[in-house]
Amino acid sequence: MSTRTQIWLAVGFAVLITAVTIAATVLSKGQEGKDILTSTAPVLTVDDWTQGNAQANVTVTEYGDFQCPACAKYEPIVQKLIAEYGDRVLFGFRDFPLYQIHKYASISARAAEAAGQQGKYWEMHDLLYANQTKWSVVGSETEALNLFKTYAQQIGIDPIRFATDVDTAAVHDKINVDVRSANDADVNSTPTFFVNNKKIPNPQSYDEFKSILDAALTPAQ
Amino acid sequence: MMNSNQSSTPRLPLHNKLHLAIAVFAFLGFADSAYLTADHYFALPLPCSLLRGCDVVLTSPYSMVGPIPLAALGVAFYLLALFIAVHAFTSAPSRRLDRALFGLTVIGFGMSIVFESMQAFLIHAFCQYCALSAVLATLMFIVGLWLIRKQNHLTQ
Repeated sequence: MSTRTQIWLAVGFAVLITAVTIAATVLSKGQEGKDILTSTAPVLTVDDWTQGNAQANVTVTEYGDFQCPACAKYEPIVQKLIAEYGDRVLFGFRDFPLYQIHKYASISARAAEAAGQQGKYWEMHDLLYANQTKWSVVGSETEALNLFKTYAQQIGIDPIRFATDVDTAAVHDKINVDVRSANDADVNSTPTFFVNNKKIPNPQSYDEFKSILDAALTPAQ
Repeated sequence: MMNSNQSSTPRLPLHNKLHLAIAVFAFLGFADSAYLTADHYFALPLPCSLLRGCDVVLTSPYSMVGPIPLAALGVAFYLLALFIAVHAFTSAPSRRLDRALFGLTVIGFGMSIVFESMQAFLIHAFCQYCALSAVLATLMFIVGLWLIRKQNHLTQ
């Protein structure tokens, strides 16, 4: 075999190995996510945004994207659950912005985190979902941020500090931590719910979600 | 003491070393772009620790040319550069091949300046994987410049 052929084979082999390694990374990610009910999420900690009973034995963790229409549809269900089970269940929300398909997934997640820096995470969270159809259709990220600044004013936080905070390392890092935990937990769509850190198929109604929580709250015989 | 003249390993001519350097940089650029392309389609884990804003850059409207992610164009660019560099390395010295390779590195370098400027002035965020690609494209351009200067020097 000539040296020239050997060099071409080596280069082709190196390119192939690289492609196979990346493909294996993709496939292993898909494989891990196949068994939906065996996927687990990290437990909720003080670093997470939570509502409800911090001492509760039952937790609900949602991975969501503020620009995701399905998440907005689930929002009233989650709110109703919080109202009914907030004394017995701890509810947490983690960011899983679907950057590839939602233009403002990043800025909206950062807006909620930035509001959280001034102690108004949930207020911004609720406003973002309530107004999703308005800010999702604006022409640019700057326009979206301008709308979010008006929300910041509505919830009584400093809009100037808010506009600065959306781009701080702390805000980016918090979202990256959430995204990493979502990847580790095989989350590949939003919303994805975990009850007691175990992934559940998305309930199709409030009653279905309620029965899952009731079962989790019932002590094992 | 061993006499250096007795060494059995033949030394590569300079132009071959330059082709080899471009091939190595192109290969690294290919791996970088291929991972970013896979991330685009399959949302792979993308640790972003050195610079913040990978998410912002990679999902900005500027990350696409029509339906094609820029990272995929990067894969095509680096593979083409790798192919030409290896072809030049394994062939007899060719002014045409060196010029083609240099032309390609000029395009890569120019596009890197455009992309980095867009990150700085339009997107206001930086992505370390894009920065790595820009560094590799710049190194390829410098080596390409060296290659073409040597070529011009020889033909004078």
